[in-house]
Amino acid sequence: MIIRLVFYFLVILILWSWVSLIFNVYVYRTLFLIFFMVFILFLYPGGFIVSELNFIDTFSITLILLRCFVTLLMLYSRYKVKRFDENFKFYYLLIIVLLFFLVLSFITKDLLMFYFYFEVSLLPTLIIIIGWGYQPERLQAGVYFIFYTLFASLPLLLLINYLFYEGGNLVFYVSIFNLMKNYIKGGIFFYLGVFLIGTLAFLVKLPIYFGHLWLPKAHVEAPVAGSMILAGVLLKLGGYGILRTINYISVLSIKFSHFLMGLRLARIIFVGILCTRLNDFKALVAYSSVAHIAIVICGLFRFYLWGWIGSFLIMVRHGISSSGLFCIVNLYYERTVSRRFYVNKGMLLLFPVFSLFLFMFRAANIAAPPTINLVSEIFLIVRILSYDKLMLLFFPIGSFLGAVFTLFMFSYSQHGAIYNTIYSLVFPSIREYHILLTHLIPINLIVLNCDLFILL
Amino acid sequence: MLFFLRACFLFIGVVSYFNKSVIFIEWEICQFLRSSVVILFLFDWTSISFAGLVILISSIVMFYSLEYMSGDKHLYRFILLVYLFVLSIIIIIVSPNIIRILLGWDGLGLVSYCLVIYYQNVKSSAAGIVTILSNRIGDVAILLTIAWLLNFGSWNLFYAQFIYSYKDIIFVIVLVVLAAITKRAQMPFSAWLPAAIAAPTPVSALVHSSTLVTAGVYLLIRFNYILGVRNFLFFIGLLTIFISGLGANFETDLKKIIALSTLRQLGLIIITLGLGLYELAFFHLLTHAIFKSLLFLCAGVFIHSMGDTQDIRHIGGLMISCPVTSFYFIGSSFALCGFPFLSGFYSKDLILEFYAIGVLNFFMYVLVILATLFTLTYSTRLMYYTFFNNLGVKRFLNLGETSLMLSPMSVLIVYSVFIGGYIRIFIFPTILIFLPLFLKVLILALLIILFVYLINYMNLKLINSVNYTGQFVYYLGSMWFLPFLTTLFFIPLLKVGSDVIKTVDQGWAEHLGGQGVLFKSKFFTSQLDKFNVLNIKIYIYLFIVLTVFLLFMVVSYLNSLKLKHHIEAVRINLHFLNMSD
Repeated sequence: MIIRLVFYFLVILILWSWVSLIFNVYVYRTLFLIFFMVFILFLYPGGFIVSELNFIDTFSITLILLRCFVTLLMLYSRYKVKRFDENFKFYYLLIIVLLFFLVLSFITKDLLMFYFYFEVSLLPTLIIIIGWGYQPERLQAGVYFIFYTLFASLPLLLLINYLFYEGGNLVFYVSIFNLMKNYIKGGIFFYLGVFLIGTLAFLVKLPIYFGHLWLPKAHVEAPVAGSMILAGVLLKLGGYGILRTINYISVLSIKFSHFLMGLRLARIIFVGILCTRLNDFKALVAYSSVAHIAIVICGLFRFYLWGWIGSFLIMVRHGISSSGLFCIVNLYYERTVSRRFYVNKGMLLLFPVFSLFLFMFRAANIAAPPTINLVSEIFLIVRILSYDKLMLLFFPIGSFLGAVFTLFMFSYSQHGAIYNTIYSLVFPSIREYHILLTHLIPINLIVLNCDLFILL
Repeated sequence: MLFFLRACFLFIGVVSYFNKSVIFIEWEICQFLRSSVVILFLFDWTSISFAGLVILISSIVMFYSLEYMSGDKHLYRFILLVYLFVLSIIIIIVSPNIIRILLGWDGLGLVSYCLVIYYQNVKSSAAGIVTILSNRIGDVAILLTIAWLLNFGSWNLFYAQFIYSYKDIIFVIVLVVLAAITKRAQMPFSAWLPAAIAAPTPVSALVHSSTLVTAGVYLLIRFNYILGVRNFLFFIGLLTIFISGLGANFETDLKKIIALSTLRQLGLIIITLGLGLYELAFFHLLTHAIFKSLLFLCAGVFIHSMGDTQDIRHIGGLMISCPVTSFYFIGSSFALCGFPFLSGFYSKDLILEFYAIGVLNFFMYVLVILATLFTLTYSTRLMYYTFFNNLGVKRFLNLGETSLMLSPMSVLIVYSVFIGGYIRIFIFPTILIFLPLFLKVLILALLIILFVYLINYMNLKLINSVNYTGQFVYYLGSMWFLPFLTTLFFIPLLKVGSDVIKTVDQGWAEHLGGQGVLFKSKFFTSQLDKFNVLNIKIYIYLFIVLTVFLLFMVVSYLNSLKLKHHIEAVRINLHFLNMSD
């Protein structure tokens, strides 16, 4: 416990010292965020805090910290908003509001309140996407984003009402017993209905294959902060929801989780193949996050501690590493004003340090050793192989294809002749190096303190 | 620094071999659910002496590359990458824990990718992709090994082989061997090794001699207790040495010939492991690493001084322009062929004599002998082209040799002459070999006869008459079309990828999802919108429909009144029935 606190404190101190040295402008906001983080840390004794409405355990504390971390980086990642005064006060207000609601959603105890915060967090994200996006297609992307998630999550409200009607309370860990008598009474369709409604809202958020169409669109059209928040935390909200509600769906999902497993593994392979033919930098990163999140669900629906810890770890690491990837893609975008691989070529010669960072994030994405991704991959591979021996065939293919498309991304953007129309380029500033480095530190250092996530 | 380290390491290695001492250092980083992740350092004579060798070669390559890469703008990056490379191989060497091995293993793959794509051209980019994807198969195999070892209670591979029998951990062994042969470029995966010469020459010297390719065999040597005598390793190795030895005879790229000869020597080591002679394999690994790195460094000098050409038909007459390097090159080539009393002789001859003792059928023995003779033929051919041949187009471009490159190489030549004899005489245990005189002399006699024959018959006319565009030569020279076969199954997969984008993601998923709903709702609302048009026909139509509908309503209401009585009657009957039960 003391080691963990000291570790966090050191990381925060280091970050804080850099930040305050480099950006005097933002010191006050940063101060607020960091004190908030430290405050939460000192509150947390390692177990379980329960109050009237809220409680905190390992899952929520880690996701809250991740959330604060990503918010901090979001504020710096789009300096253009401040510099050219693109309504930046409103922009920052939205980010802070989003932080507020997401933190609330992670510490709440009540299913209905969780649902409420879950839905409210869509609104600021939508405004960020359609307000500060780059192209006219951002309107369609916003519509996709809202309607795919709402379509799946409105039935959940009905289910919550039904649960309250049957059981009388909606606290996460209590509500399981009330449904048992109905499970016995109701037939297979009752099972299926509760299972689908209860999980679909979170599955589309994660996202599930065929429900994932909003994700690449929203990622591609959103400004960098929108992409970072989507990759960093909003996708994790789905996984967190499944972790919390797994009590009342666990009885059902033992019956139906096999379909989900199949869909998931097929998706890893399909998306892996698909990603090798994309020519859009940002869409490739978005699709790769679809592939990586896929094994989260495999881990969750196996109902073992290994799988839960593994998928939780994957959520954390994916939050940091893919947020970093979006960040670096945005840095290229700001310079070449294109997301195509046809334009972003030969970057190794122009920006060698960016190239180093891209390589490190890429290595993190394919679960190369010093990163936390490897730990999560080991947890999940154990759990998935325990499902069936046939997984020995599928999982390696998925893992191999993951390497193929991330390699494709690196090779096509860093090699080749420099595009002819690039005449003037802005050289990287310390701010940009700082953002990338602060992404990279937690991925590589948390490994030393891995049992942080293993408490339950 | 590295140079100093290697002296310590080699010394400690020798001492610990005689003392039979082993040092374990264990550091537990985390523990969950009773499975602990442990960092283990294992220092015994194998690991220390091998680490000393790696550090020796890498220090020499580092000195060498300071001069060789001095014109390069990114020298700093290059040096850092080579350091990372050496670090990851040493991580593999000192760890018996499979997670630690993966740490170094993946590190090797990634850093070797960075080094292969160091030059910015299409060829090196493609070579890098082939290299890392072949290595990725091994990485995945090691990941699966980690998952599978959970069944056996420990991630420490080193212990597992003493506890369990061969049949218990057969799956682990298959995975480890798969990982080893991908890293080691054995037969189905050997396309990447000749491609990886796109890296700068000092890197090739490191990759091909002591680091990347030896990682796999080192794992197998560590695993020897359970591996024992395995025929499949023997066959894989035999196939590799035969194909690569044959291919090297038709190659015209200087570095590629040396790369193919590396492949051939690696196959020899795998064969030795397949026969269960792991100490001999380790011996040959040590000697081979030294003279192979020296060969590559010499090739680097030639390339450097000949205006960056690698084609052996362009260079020639190097005997005069680079005399010292030529001396080193010929010395290490002879060591490679197993010339008597050079270091290659001791290890290779021992291995071949062990084959002759062992139970082998005649066909296999002939293949092994043939593959050994191929070493001589391609080495002689290479030496003829580079030294004796006066045809070189670019031989007036000579820039000469510099002392900065020569001085590190001269350390290696001393090693490559004496280390075999030193290990054989002072360290290696005494071995008794009983052979008939015919078999004992056979290889030596064949080598000498072939060498004399080749020197006599190598002339201008013969060389000009070789048709390099012929199909058969092409078939043999490209290692039986292996580079094409490797990518044969992956290129159609890319087509599948574009199909998936078209039909699934931008096709059915959109049709059943966002765009489909939009289209359908547009259609239905436009249909509804037609009722707003002020048209007399529509009103008449609506009137008729409404009348019919109302009529139906009335009729069905009347019917339902009748039905209601009927239902009442049935319910009362049922009630009575229930009562009677």
